[in-house]
Amino acid sequence: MNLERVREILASMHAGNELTEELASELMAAAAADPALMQEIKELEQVCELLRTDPGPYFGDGSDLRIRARIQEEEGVPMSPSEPEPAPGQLSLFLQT
Amino acid sequence: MSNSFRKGPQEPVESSAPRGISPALRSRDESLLERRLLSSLAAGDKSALGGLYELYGEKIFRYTFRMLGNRADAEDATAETFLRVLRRSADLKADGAFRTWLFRIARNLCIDRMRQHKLLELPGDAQYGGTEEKAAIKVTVHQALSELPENYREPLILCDLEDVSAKEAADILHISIPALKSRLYRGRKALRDILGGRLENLT
Repeated sequence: MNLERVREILASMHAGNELTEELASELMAAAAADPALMQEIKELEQVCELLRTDPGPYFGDGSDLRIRARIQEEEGVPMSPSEPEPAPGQLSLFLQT
Repeated sequence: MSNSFRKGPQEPVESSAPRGISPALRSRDESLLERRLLSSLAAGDKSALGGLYELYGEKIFRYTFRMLGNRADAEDATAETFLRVLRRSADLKADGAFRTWLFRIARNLCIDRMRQHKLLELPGDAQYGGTEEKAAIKVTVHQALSELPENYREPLILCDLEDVSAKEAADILHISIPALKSRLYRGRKALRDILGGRLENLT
C-alpha cells in the first residue's frame, strides 16, 4: 500500500471516528501543513456527518404491528407490543394485582 | 405478548434500562437481558422471541429498509429474520454473537430478495416522517447510496448509518477488518463524489 493510500484511509477513519485520539491528533497536525489532506478530511467528515444524522425510515405502529402479526400468525408466538416507557420525569402508575 | 416482557413492579429493570443512564450501563443491561432471552428460547420458551424482537426489531427493520429500499420488503425480511431465529432456536448460544448472527440472517434475506427483484427501489418522500426539508435530505442521501456498488454500500449502512462496530460489520460481511476499512473509505469517497456540490448544503 502506498503512502497516498495510507493517508486517504486515515482521513476516512478520522471522519468515521475510528482513530485513537493520539493518531487523530497526529493526522490533524499533518493536515495543518497539507491543504489537500485537510480538504479530504473535511469532505469525508461531511459525508459521515450526513449519514450519522439520518434518522432512517420511520418505524411506526403500522410496520411494527404488521411484523408482529406475521410472526404470531406463522408460529403462534405471542407478540403484542410492550407498553411505552414513561417520558423522563413522568411517574408510572402500576396496577396492583 | 405475554406479560413477561412488560415492565411492572415485579421486574423493575429487566425489560430495558431506564432512560438517562449511561450507554455502557444500558448496553450491559441489554446484554444480560439478551442472554436470558436466548437461554429461554433455546430451552423451548417461544415467548422469549417477543423480547428479542423488542431489543432488535427496529434495528433490523431499519437495516433491511436501507438494504431493500421499500417498506413492504423490509417488513417481510424483518419478520422472516425473527422467524428463522425461532426455527433455529435449538442451536442458539448466549455467547455474545447473537446480534452479528441476526444481522447475517437479515443480510442474506435481503440479498436473496434483491436478486429476485434485480433492482433497488428508491424510497419516496411519503415513506419518511419529519419535515419536508429533512425528507428531501433523506431522499437525496438514499438516492446517492443506491448508486453505490453493493460492496461499498453495505459497510456504510452498517457502520455509518446503523452504528455497528468495524469488527462486527466485518464479521457480518465475512471480510477482514482492513478490507472493511478500505471499503468504508472507498464508499465514503464515492458518496462524496456523487453528492458533489450538494454536500455543503446538506450538512
